[in-house]
Amino acid sequence: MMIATAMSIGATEVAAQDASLYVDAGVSHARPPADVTGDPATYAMLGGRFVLGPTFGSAYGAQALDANSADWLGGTLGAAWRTGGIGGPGFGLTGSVVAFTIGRPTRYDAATARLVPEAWLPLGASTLRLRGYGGLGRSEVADPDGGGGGPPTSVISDLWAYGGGLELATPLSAGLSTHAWAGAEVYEAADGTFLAGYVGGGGNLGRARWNVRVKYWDTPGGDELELRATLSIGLTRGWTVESAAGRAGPDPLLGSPAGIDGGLTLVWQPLARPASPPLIALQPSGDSTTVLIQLERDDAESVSVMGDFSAWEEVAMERRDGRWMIRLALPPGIYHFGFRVDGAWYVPDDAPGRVTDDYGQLNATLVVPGP
Amino acid sequence: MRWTILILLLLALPAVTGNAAAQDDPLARVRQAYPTATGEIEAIISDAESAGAPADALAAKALEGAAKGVPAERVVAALHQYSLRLRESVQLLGRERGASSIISGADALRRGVPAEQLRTMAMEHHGDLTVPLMVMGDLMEAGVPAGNAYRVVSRAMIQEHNHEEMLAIPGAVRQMMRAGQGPGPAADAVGQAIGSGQFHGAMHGPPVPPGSGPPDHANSERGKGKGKSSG
Repeated sequence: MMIATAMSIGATEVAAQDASLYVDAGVSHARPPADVTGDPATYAMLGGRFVLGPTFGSAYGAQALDANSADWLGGTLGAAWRTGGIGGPGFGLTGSVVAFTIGRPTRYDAATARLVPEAWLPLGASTLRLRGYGGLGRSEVADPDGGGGGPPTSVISDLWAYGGGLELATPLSAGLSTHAWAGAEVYEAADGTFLAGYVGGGGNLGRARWNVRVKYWDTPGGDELELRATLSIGLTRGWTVESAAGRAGPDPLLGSPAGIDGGLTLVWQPLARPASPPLIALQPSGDSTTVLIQLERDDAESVSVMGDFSAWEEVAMERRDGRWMIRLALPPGIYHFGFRVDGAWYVPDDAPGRVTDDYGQLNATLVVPGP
Repeated sequence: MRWTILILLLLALPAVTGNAAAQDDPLARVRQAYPTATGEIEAIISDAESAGAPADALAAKALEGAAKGVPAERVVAALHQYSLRLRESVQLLGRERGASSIISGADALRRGVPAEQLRTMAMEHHGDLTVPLMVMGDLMEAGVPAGNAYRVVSRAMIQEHNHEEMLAIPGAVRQMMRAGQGPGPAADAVGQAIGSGQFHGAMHGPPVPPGSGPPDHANSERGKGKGKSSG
């Protein structure tokens, strides 16, 4: 569950790139449910995740840090497909295989395959989501001592579960980038019938991203309450620290029980590209706005900018730290502009509002918003 | 000698002050740049202004031509075309929409945004349309079909995404396209993220199915499942 949480944080925290790679290192502490005999376990974890187009995967290993913990290795490989969703229903399908092995004192191996079809419908600013679930797997629990001095035993279990759920998600405040969701799920599994209802919320707070979830489970073994709070903070380019704590919920397919756990993970993105400065940055200042224009052209000897804001007179830009820069104080409005780089007209490919100037060249467009 | 210099300075003064005045008045600068085409240019600007189009935009377009070394006859032709687009934008968006929205509408038409989309946007959304129209143009330039582009922008407007987040939409769509998605599906994916409240200027990776990791507690007695034993 910690890995699922860490992966879901990573998947929702970092912008998708052509290929994204995450390296996670952390510690986690878990306690058994109150009605289960067992000792707390602590382990250190090292692993990685990748996102490559529609595919994703992970591989993790953990080292036990106390006598109650067990070493384990696990991995995931999956793919997701999405289409539609604007002005009408959208559809998606996610498939994945998960395998792991847990060591001493009782070896526990499992492999599962899951398929999650989804359909969603925009309802104004909210989204109604219908999700299905199907999973198959096999687990083996092997005790070399047969429960203490006896012959080795091995219990092989065929795992299966199917079900689905309904969820409504809605933004609470675009300015605060906060959203909330609520839903219900039902599963039929080898262990019996699982029912769940949940509410949750998430959003941004400066450089941090938070997420909380409360989920009530009615399981064959009794009632369970799942609580989860996660906080992810960007440290610097390519580095994020993630923390999670709560009481995990059961997995209908694996039959794994709920338990209190928490963890701290340092995430490194080795493929994170240096962020290019934005071409245009706006800083409101009274009745006007200070506009900072930055152009990365290391190869240029001279760069000037000209546009509607300068009555199309060239204004020389200053070279600083490998970039060409200029600050302008502009009132609200829309301005076409471009650059002369060593005498030649130039507009970057990713400049906003690229429009032909009626003279056979391109201009970019700068918008300074009103109050 | 001193008197000669003083007389020469006095004679030069009107030219200096005249140039200074021209710097402040765009039309005066246009007259200076295109003295033989002044009449035609002023007529185009005057006609457009009476139809509700922003005159400053046309004067700026003429100054742009002068800065780029464009001959007078091409500037007149360009102003004529631009004037037509500005007037069409006024008709589609309404005179009360404001100069920035009108100019942005003319740019959108130039970039291939269907007139019908401008009319629909004006009917369905109030207020300033400058940035939404610019984003529509950016999306269509990236290859997104007009209908998909409009739905993404409209959704973002309904959710009151701010200036910066709106301007980040085309970049997010291009990002998805670089990952292998077609323009339409990429726009739909961004629109879906907007709709679910998860678009904050960047796109995210695929979701993770439940239970993608080992159990939380490895040594519990529960959850062994039903099955045969061996050994």
